[in-house]
Amino acid sequence: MLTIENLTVSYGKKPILNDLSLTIKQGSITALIGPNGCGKSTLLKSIAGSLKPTAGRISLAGQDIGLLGHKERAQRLSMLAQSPTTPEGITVRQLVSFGRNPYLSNWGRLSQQDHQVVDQALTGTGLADLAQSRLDQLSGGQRQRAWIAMVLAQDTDYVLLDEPTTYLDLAHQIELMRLMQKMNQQGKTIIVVLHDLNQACRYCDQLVVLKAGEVQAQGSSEQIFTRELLRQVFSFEAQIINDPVANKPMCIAL
Amino acid sequence: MKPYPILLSSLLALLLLLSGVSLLFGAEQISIDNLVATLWQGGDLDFIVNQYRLPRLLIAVLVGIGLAVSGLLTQAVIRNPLASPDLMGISGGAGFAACLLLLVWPQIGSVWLPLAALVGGFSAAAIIWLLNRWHQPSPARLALVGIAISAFFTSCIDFLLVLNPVEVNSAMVWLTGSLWGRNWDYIWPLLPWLLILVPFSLYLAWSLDLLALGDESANALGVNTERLQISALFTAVALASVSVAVCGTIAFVGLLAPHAARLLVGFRHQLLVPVTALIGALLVLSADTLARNLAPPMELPAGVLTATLGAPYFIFLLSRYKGW
Amino acid sequence: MSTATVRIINSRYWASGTVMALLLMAAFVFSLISQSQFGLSFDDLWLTLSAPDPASLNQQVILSLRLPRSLVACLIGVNLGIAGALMQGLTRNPLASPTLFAINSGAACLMALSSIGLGLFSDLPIELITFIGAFIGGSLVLWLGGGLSSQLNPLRLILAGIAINALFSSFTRAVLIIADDKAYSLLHWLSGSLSEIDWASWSQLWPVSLVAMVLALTTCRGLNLASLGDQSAASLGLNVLNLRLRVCCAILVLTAISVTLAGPIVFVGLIAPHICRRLFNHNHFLVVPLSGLIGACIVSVADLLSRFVVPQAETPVGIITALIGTPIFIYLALKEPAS
Repeated sequence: MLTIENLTVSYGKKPILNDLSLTIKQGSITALIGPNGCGKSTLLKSIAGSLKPTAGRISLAGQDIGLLGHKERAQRLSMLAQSPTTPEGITVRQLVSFGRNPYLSNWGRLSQQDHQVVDQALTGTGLADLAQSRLDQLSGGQRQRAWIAMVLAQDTDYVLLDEPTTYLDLAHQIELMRLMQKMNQQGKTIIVVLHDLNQACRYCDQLVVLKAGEVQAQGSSEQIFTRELLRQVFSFEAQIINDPVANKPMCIAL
Repeated sequence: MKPYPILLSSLLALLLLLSGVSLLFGAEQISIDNLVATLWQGGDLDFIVNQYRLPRLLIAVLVGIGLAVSGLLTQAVIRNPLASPDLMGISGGAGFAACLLLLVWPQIGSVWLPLAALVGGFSAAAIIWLLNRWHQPSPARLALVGIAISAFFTSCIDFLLVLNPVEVNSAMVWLTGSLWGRNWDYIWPLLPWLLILVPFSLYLAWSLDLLALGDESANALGVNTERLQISALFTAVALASVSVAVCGTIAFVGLLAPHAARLLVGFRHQLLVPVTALIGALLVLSADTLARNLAPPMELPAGVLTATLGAPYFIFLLSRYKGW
Repeated sequence: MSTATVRIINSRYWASGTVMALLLMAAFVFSLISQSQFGLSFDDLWLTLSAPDPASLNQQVILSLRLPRSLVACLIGVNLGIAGALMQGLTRNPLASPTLFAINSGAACLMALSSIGLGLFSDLPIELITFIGAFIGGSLVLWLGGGLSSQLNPLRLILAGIAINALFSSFTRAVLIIADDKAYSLLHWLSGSLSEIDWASWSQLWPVSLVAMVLALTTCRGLNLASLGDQSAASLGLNVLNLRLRVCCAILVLTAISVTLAGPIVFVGLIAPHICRRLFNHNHFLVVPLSGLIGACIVSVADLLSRFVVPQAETPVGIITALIGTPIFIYLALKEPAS
């Protein structure tokens, strides 16, 4: 279980997250949603360790992850950043191998077992044939899958995804969401920042709604996804209907 | 792309060949038998070969390695393939500090020059680092600050020279990227730094690959990005500073050697460090050999040749770079 | 905006402008008489104006040495300040300066090469050589930095400037080593010095500067539009290429004539527009001329200080501007929010 207690994170003097407390259940897929600037990416980055909190504590199974070493943390949590940079000339397999870093020494030598994990990650994302291809020669959807494969190779219990669908076309977005569900079925707890509210409702068990650095609501989409919420937090009028395919709530703007 | 071991051996062979050429040619030409004999046993040509050309050759190689690896590390940390220590004002700072020492204390042994240069280099680097940290400036902004810092230190050096006109010549000779007059005294201050820092760069290499993915991704993969960047930058500044302390600013080596290496071996730093080092050594050695032999007995500074070849190639790279 | 607010703003500008002008005048007057080996005083100055006496040595010193020097210092300051404002407007980067165009290093290189008798240039007068060198440097950077292409990329321009600068400086340094007898005087020139200025310099300076300044003023409106970005400006009807040509021409001429007469004086073109934007606003109709005023202040004050820093000797003015300028510049660079 991931527990966040009284977390405050600031850029300079401006607090982005203000005394925020949250619990994420193990084994769930949780979507962080909210209007622009509400702090969802900041929250994700704080959990991942890229941002240092000014106050508060983040614990995993009771242990304060702020006290863990970099590699130890990376063995428990992995993150796919929003716009990662791609070194020129890197192949798919090389990228996925980077995912094993938390288990390697600083010389970066992979063991037989590490290679097996990499193979599994490639197969799991359907990239086994493209393993030797250069990343910059792949399509957007394939490239994103390669990054997911890297995260899979990292083999952590908790996976954080920062707006993984933003630059993808619809078909690839859905493919990614399904991949995410598959990862969850294999036992991983997923926290994902999403812009698309309907995708969040459809593919995620739990929603956490943020506004101005504070949690406005938390629960399953059936519990909290209402007209009032959309009006208050997102400032738009919508009608909530039942998605006939997934049997989950869905909003249509009025 | 050739397999790596073949590439490495070819570069080494080329370096050995060039070393031979540099020992044979110069104001006075020596035959091969004479050369071999002198290297083993001394003799009439002992001064030219063993006291003059040989140390100069070794220094050229060492400085080339230092500048090239420094450029590679700087480019990795600043994440811009057009970054290099001389453009960031680090060489300027190093040059100024060492110059200050030379002019204020002319009798000082050459051992102390690299230390003074380090202090100067680090001061300049500190400014760049702070700027990078607080504001994450665009590459353009960073380049401009680097120019300003370089210009500042150049003016400071000029100021010192105006105050001490007697020492102008020696200071000039020393400041301009040149290997003139460098003998065995200059190798001992330089060698320990390289023996420690170049293997250390190799140690950082794998983590630098991860750094290229972006700060957030690298962090998520378990890299202590802040410690890595400081270590890499520290090493880069130290290598550049000690090289400047011995030979002055030899421009473009730190910029172009990593580029050429990347064209040959790709992005992996564990492969890049040795290849960059060898290419840097080749660049400086060829520049110096050419400089000595173009119009003997007059010697041009090696820095002129690296700039003459480097600047057009750099411009060519600029026009091809698609990262705008 | 109410008329009351407009009046307040305007009066604040007037106050700043007046302070600058007073500072300039003070520096000007003091530099006419200070630290002279002839012991000049205010009385000498007053007498020169009210009761001119051709036989008086002191008056002659003021009239033929000090006066042209102070005037030239002022005008060079104006030139560099305006060139700096234009440069920052052109690249849309507040950290740019005319040094970027390798004008100084081009001039220095050609002058160094001709002083050792290299090539076809040795017969021409020195001022022409440095002017040509300045132009070659500037044009090379412009051409190679993609200044004539449809999309001006400031970073590419900056990097081209760095490369060409490095190229020219290396040649200059080579000459300094090879021709060591000329090293000291060359070095002195390279640091930017006003000690050789006379009335002949003034007569060369003011016509060229005037023409370039007029050209600069015609670009103000265009620069205001260009600050929105090349594409937005073009869609508003601006002929971007034409503006860029005029701006570059003005920068080249203003800087080239200054470096020809006084050697490279750095940082003025960088700092003056900054100070100007702080005291006034970003409107180029104000920034361009007022950067000139502030530039004149900086150079005049620096020239005044150059006589005091090292007792009984003159420090080249370029060093003073660099020593004062860099801390200011770094402070500004660290304070600016990331763009």
